Amino acid sequence: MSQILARPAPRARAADGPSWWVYAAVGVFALLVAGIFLSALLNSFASTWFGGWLPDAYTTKWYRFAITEFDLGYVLAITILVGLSVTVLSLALGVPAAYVLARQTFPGRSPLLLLLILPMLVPPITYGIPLAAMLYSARLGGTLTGVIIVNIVPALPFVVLIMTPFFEQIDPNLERAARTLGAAPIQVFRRVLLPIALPGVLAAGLLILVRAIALFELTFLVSGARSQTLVVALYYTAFAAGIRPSQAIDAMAVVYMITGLIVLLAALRFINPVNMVIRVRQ
Amino acid sequence: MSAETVVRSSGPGEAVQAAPGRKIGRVEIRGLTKRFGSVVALSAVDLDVHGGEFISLLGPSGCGKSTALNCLAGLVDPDAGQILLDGVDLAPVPPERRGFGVVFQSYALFPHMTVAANVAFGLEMMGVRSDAVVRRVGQALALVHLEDLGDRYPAQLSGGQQQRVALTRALVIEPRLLLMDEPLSNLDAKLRLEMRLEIRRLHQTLGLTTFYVTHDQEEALSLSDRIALIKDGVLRQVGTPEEVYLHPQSSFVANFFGYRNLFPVHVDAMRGDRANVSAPGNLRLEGTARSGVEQGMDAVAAVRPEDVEVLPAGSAPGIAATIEFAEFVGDAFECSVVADAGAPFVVRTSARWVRGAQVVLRVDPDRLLVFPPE
Amino acid sequence: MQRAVGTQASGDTGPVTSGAPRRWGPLLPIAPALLLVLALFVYPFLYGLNLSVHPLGALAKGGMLANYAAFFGDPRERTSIWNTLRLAVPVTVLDLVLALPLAYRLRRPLPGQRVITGLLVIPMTLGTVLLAEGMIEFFGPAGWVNKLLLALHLITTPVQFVHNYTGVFISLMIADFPAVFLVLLGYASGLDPRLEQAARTLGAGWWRRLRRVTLPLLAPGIAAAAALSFVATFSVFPSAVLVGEPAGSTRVIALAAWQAAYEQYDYPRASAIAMVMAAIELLFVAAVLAARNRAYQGPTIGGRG
Repeated sequence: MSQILARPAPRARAADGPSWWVYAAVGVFALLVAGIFLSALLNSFASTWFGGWLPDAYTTKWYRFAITEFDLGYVLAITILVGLSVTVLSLALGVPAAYVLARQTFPGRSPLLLLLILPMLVPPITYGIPLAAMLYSARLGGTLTGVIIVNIVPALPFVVLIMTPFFEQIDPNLERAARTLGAAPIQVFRRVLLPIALPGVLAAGLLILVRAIALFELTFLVSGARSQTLVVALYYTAFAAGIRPSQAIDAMAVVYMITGLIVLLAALRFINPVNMVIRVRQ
Repeated sequence: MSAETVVRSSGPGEAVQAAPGRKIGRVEIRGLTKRFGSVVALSAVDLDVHGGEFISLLGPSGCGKSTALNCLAGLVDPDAGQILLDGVDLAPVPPERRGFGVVFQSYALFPHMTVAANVAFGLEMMGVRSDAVVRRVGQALALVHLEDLGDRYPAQLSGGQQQRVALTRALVIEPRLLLMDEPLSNLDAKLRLEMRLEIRRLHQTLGLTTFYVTHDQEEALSLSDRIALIKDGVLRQVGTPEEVYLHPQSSFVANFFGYRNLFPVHVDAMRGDRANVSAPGNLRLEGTARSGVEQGMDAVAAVRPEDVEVLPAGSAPGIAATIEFAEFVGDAFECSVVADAGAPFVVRTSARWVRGAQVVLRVDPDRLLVFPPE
Repeated sequence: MQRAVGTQASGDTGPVTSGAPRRWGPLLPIAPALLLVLALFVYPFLYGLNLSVHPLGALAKGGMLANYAAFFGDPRERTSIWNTLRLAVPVTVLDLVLALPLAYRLRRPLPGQRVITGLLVIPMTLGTVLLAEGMIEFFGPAGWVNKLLLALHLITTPVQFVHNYTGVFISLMIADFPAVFLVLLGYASGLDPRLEQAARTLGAGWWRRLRRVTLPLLAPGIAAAAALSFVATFSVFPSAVLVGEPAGSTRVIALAAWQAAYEQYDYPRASAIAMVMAAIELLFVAAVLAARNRAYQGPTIGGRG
C-alpha cells in the first residue's frame, strides 16, 4: 500500500459520490442502540415509571437492591476473574500456536489451522452439552475452574485467527538477522519478536476479554450458583420465576454494560478495527 | 542518437502523420494546478503535445508527474487549469468516457479474471460483439507473444508478462491517447531494456500520442520525442532529448542528465556568456553562463565527470587534487577526487589511478555550465 | 491492511529454519493449543455424537437413529428448525445487504472514521442478553419507540415489538451487524483502488464496475461474513427466550436441545438435536463456499504476481 500513500489517491468524495448517507445510517443505528441502553439506564434509576416519556422519580435504591439481592459485587468479581483468566490462558496457548502457523510450512498446516479455528465457527451448544456433561462427571461442573476451562475453547481460535496473520506480516528477516548476530531462540523471542508482537497481543487480549465477558451459552451450561458470570446472572434474574422488579434487573444490566464498554473502549483506543483483518494465508 | 530519431523530433507546429481515420491526438495543458491539502502537487503547468508525439514526464519522486497523469486520465480533478484534446475541454468528461489507454505502475490487472478476460474488458465495455472481441484479443496477445497464456491468471505470470498484458489491455481498445505511469520500474534491468525496445516499436507502429511518466533519465532519453522535466510541481524545461541533454537550463535538469559535479560558486566576472567563477578554497574556473546568471551573484557550477580532464600533477596548470578511489565501470574508471581546496569531484578516466595520487584537473569552459541557484 | 514493522521481501513468507530435513522441534509450541482443542472440543463433539446414537429409555428400542427419528418425527420438534431458519436466513441476508455498502464506503477514510467504526462495533459489548433486556423497555408497549410512532401518528395503538418473532429478529439484527460489518470492512479495505481506476479508464461505469470488478473481488469476504453470520444467528438462544416466544413461534432449535438436556435429562436426545444443528450449519457454509467459488477464482490482492 506504500505506493498509494506516496501518490495521493483521488479523494473518496470524487469517486464514490455523496457520503451523507453513511452518517445518517450510522446515526440511526447509534440512536437505536443508545435508546436501548438509555431505557435500561433510566429505568434502573427510576423509583417508578408508569408509562410517561421519563420516569416519575429517581432513586439509586435499585442498585443497592441488586447488590444485596443479586450479590452483584460477588458476581462482578467472578466475571472479571473469569475474563482475565480466560484471556491469559488462551493467549498463552494461542500465541505460540499462531507463531508456528505463521512461520512454518509443513504438511497438514491448513487442516491444522482449520481445526484450531473450528470451535469458533461451530455453535457452542453442539460441543457444550457433552463438554458440560464431561466436566460435571469430573466434578468440575458448577465450579469456577469449570467455567474458565469451558470459555477457553471458543477464545483460543480467536487468538489464533488474529495473531497468525499478524505474525505473518512481521518480516522473517528480522529474526534471521538477530540469529546471525548470535541470538539464541529465546533471546530472539524476548528481544525482537515480543516487542513487535506486543501491540497485537494486547489488542487480541482486550478483544478476548470483551468476548469472554459477553459469552453466554457455555457459561450458562456449566456454571453453578456461585460461579455465574454477570451475563448469566442477568439472564437468570430476567427469566427466573418470581417477581423481580424490572428496575433491579436493569440496574444489573447497566453494570454489565458499563463493564463491557470500559474494556471495549480501551481496546478501540489501541486498535483500529480495520487492522483486525481476518484473512489467513491459505 | 540515430538519424531516424533526429527526424522524428519535430518542433512545435509540425503535425506528425497520425494513423488514418483517427483524430490527431493533440493535447493542450493550460495552467494545470492541483493541491492536496497544503501540498502543491502541480503548479500552473503549461504543455502542448502534438498528435503522435511521445513525451516523457521526467522528475524525482513526488514531483507531481504522476498527479499530472492522473489528471489527464480523469482520475483526479485539477483545482485549476484546463486539459484540451484536439481542442475539446476534457473537464466534463469522466475517465470512463475519455477512451485513453492507461498502464499503471502496478499493472492493476484484475486478479479474478484470466489474461484474455483482462484484455477483453475494455472491448466489452465499448460494446464490441463477442466474436470480434475474441478475435481482437487473440490478435493483440499474439502481437506481444502471449497467445498461449490467455487462460492463465495474472498471479501465474511473471512480472514482464504481466506488464505486457497491462500494455495490451490498454492498447487493444485503440485509444486516442496512451498514458503510462512508470511501467518499467518494477522490472529487473534486463527486462527493462527489452520492454523499452518493445514500447518504442509499438509507438512507431501505432503512432499514438503517449505520455510516459518516469524518473529514469535513460528511459526518457531513449524513448521520447520530447522530455518535460518537472520539479516540485513546476515544469522546468521541455525539449528534445538532445536539447535537454546538451543544453540544460537549470542545475536541476543538468543534474538529471549526468552533470554529477555540482558545487556552489561566486560569479566574479562575466564577458558575454563566459563567466569567471570562484569557489571556497581559492578555486578558480572559467565556464559558460546560462540565462539568469549575473556578475556578482552566487551560482551553481556543473560539469560532467567525462568532461573533466585528469593529468599528472605538475604537467599542466589546473586544479590540484588527490585521488580518493577509483571504480572500474566497464568502459572506463570512475574516480572520486578531492581538490586540495576541499571540493569533491567525480571524474571519468581511461587510465587507472592509484589512491592518493596527486593530479591536476582541467575543464573546458564550454563544458562547465554556470546556473542560477535553485 | 496495516503493515507491521519491516515490509516483507516479495514472496518470502517461508520458514525461518533452512531447508534441512524436517525437524519437529520448532512445531512444538503448537502442541498445547492442539491438545486443548482435541480434548475439549473434538472429544466432546465425538462424545456427543456417540451419545446421540445410544438412545435412552423408551427410544432405545428404536435402534441407533431413534433420537433423530424422534426429533424429525415430532412436529413440534421439527418446527424448531423452521423457526430458527425463519430467523437466521433473513437476518443474515439483511445484515449483509446493510453492511456491504457501509463497509465499501468506509474502506477509504471518511472524517470521523474511528468514531463511526467504534459506534457500529459497540453492540458487540452488549451481547445478546443485555440487548434483549434493554429492548423490553425500549420496544415495549410503553417504551420510546411506540411513543414516538404514536406521536408521529404512524400508528394508533402500540405495536407489539417484543415477546414475539419481531423482538428476536430485531435483537439478532443489532447483535449480528458489527461482526458482519467488520469482516466486510476488512476485505473491502484490502481492495486495490487501482483496480477500480483501471476499470474506469477502460470505460466501465459504476454499475459495471460493481458487477464485474468490485463484487467478484469481495466475494470471499461476503461468503465469510455470510457463513459467520448464519452460524451465529442459527445458534440463537437467550434472545429467543427473553424477547421472543420460547413456547411458540421462536422455539428455536438450541432451545429444543437445552430442554432435552436440562428439563428432560435426556442427554442423548439433546446431543442428537445438537448434531442436527451442526449439520445444518455445515450445509449452509458448504453451500456458501460453493457459490463463492463460482463467482470468483484467484487471490484478492491486486494484479501483481
